Parts: sequence; C-alpha cells; structure tokens
Amino acid sequence: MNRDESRDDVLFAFTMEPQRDRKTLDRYLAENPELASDLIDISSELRLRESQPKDNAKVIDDPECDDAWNTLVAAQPQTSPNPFAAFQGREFVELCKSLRLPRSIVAAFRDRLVDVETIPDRLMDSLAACTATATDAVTKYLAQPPTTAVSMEFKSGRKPTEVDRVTFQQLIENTQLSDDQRDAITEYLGDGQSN
Amino acid sequence: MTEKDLVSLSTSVPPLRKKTAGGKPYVRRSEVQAELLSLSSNTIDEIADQSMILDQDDENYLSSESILHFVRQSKANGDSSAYETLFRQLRQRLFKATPVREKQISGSQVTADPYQEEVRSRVVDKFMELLCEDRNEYRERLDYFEINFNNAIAALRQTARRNTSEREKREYAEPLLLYESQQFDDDGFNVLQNLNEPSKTEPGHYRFEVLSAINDLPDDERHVIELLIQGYLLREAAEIVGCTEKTARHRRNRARIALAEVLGREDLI
Repeated sequence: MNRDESRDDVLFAFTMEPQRDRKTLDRYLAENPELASDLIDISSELRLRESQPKDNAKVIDDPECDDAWNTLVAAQPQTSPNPFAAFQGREFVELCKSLRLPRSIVAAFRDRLVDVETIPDRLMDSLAACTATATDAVTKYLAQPPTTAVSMEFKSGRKPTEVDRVTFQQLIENTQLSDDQRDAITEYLGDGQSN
Repeated sequence: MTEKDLVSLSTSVPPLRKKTAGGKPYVRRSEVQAELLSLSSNTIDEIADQSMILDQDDENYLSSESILHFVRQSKANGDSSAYETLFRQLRQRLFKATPVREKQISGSQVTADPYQEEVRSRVVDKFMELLCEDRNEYRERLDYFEINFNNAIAALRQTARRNTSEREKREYAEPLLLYESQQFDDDGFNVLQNLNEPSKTEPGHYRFEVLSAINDLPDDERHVIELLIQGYLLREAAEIVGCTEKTARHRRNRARIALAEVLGREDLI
C-alpha cells in the first residue's frame, strides 16, 4: 500500500466510525497528527451533509453515463476470478471451518478437481456466501479446467494431459470425515441426494 | 427483524472482506443488511425498478449501499439492462453526495461553482476507477461504500479537495468584509458549540445554512471553528492546528464576523 492509499484508508476508517465525537477525533488526531487538517475537514463535512435537506425529486443531468457504463462493462475479466484467492494460510483454515469441511475437500474445490455438476446446490450457496462471491461466479470458476492442468502448461515443455475430475460423491467417499463434517455434508445434500 | 434473525440469515448475503486496522472484519449497518436480505427473493429487474424511486420517504426507497451491492454483483451475473439501470441510479446517488452549488449571475441565469464541479469530477472519476478495478479483482476499498456510502464519499471528497486548488475555491466564495480591529471576548460563542447537538439548534434548514457558511470559510478559520464546535478550548485548537493561541483567536474572530455577515446573525459576534 502506498502512502496515499494508507492516508486514504485512515480517512475512510474515520468516516466509518459509528461515533464521530470529540473522543473519536482525539484518538485519530493522536494516531495521525499529520492528517489533522483532513480529519477536521471530514468532521465538518459529515456534519454538514447530515444536516442537508432531502432532495427527493431532482434528477441530475449525466451525459457521460453511457460511456461510463461501457467502460465498466469493458472492465469485465475474461476468466472468472478465483473466489478462494483471498483465503491463504490461516484464512483458508477458517474458511474450511466455516464450511465444516476438511481441508482436502475445500482444496479440491479450489483446484477445480470436482465435477461442478455433482456439487449440491446448498454447498454451492455456502461456498458463495463464505467466499463473498456470487453463486454464479463460483459456478463459473469451478467449471474452468483444473488448476493443476493450467499450472503444468507453464512448468513443463510437454502438453499437459487431461486431469480427470471426481464427482462430489467420490470425493467424500475417499475422505476421512469427522462426525461434524459428516453431519454438515448430510445437510448440504438435503434429502440425501446429490445433484 | 431482530439481530438473531439477521445472524441466522446472514449467510445469504456475502459478508464484506475489508478489515479494520485491528483486523476485525467490517460489517454492513444492520438496516442495510436487513434491506439486502429482504431483497434476496426479488428478481434483479424488480430491484432495478425499485432503485428508481427518488422519494427518500417512500418505504421502498433503496439505500445507496444496496444499489452499489447489486452493481458489484453484475460482474458475475451479466450486464443486463437491469444492472445498467442500477448503475445509472448509483451515479445519481454519487452526484447527490457531492453537491455543486449554483450561483445566480443575472436574472434567471445560474452558473455552477467551478471548484465544487472539479471536486465532484475527481470524486466520480475515483469511484469509477474503483468500480472498474473491482470487476477484475475484488476491491476491498469499495466495501467502505457498502457500509456507509455517503460517508465514504466524504472521504473521497476530502482527497479531491486536497488536490484541487484552494485558490479556485476562494475565487468563488462570497466576498467577506473583515473588521480586523473588532474586539471579542472568549465567551458567548455557544451558538457554534450547539451545532454539535442538532436538538439544541434551530430548524434543520437553518442549521444547514450555518454549517454551509462555515464550510465556505478559508481552511485555517474553518479548522479552528470546527474544533470549537467539537468542544475544544481555543488553546487546544491552536495546538492541534499548529499555531499560537493568539493566531487561533484571530482566525476565530475573523470567522465570527464573516459568519455573522453572511447569515445576518448578531448572536454570532
């Protein structure tokens, strides 16, 4: 994070404070004396905006909206982003705990080694919720080729062979599960049926 | 909806990823979380229609935080016309959070404050940059806007103001007559301290006028006045802004005259 981003993060954090009284301002001024002007200005600005009368009906002319929308659409990534990217180390362990699944199973999802069609809907919803990603985006990610095949393309001079995916059922049959993990999977399967 | 209900249903709305400096995850305000949950069974077309309600007193009026939430979802769910509608409404909210004052120049002719226009333009550009980055890779900084949209915009405005010339601002502000020789005592400025407590001040529109006039003061005067509103003593304010108490008093006095003149309020002197 560069200096500007770090400064902006302090300002954002200040605006997120539930109480912006003298005590809060004191704390931020003590921790960030170099940002005194900015913090005082924001304090003043927020009070002004909170007292601003409602402006219900007015629509503001926005001639650049079409261009802005096209720019946003063009920023769409070509491949679906990895919903597991933010979960490294301890956070990956926490993710597994949230899902109540063993790490080997979540790693298999992460590496796209499981046939997406066989993953129960409830589990897909939980994967989406726990990774803060839309369910459709998780589905698109899991439907891409396994990551092991993708990485081999860069590490080896020879053409990678197709990696066989396993079904969700095969995956759980070949994994040692605790009682809680077994219960969780039963809940994910709903009526005992996988997709 | 109770807190318990919110917790039990919270998994159907993706949590935010941004964490506080202390490592604690930020969470949406309970009213925003409840609104998102109540919308979870609606189609995106219904939500887009709802976003077009402009009356803030309408029970179906959508928060800016929710509109942003759905615009962010468009990256995974396609770019249908419903998402475009949400995007248009989001820009309207962005504009309303960065108001530009208009000044009457002659008859019915008005002109927009170029300084505030420049600030708005910078805020819009920065926000759009964040949205575009978020399409490629989750941008945690955008989470601030899902927590409190208007307040996060205030932080962006501050950065934009810092980067926009103070000279432009002063050129547009109302000319203020200064009575440098006027003497003041240190008491009797309670009207400003009361501004920190809306219940103690006059009707809302007048409070806004007073605060707007303060906002128009030169930076050095506004900083002293803001600290006095917060309840700091003049000596403490001087220390924070890095000047002598005498200088702080001078700034305060100039501000008092300017405010009294703009607002026609003798009690500010």
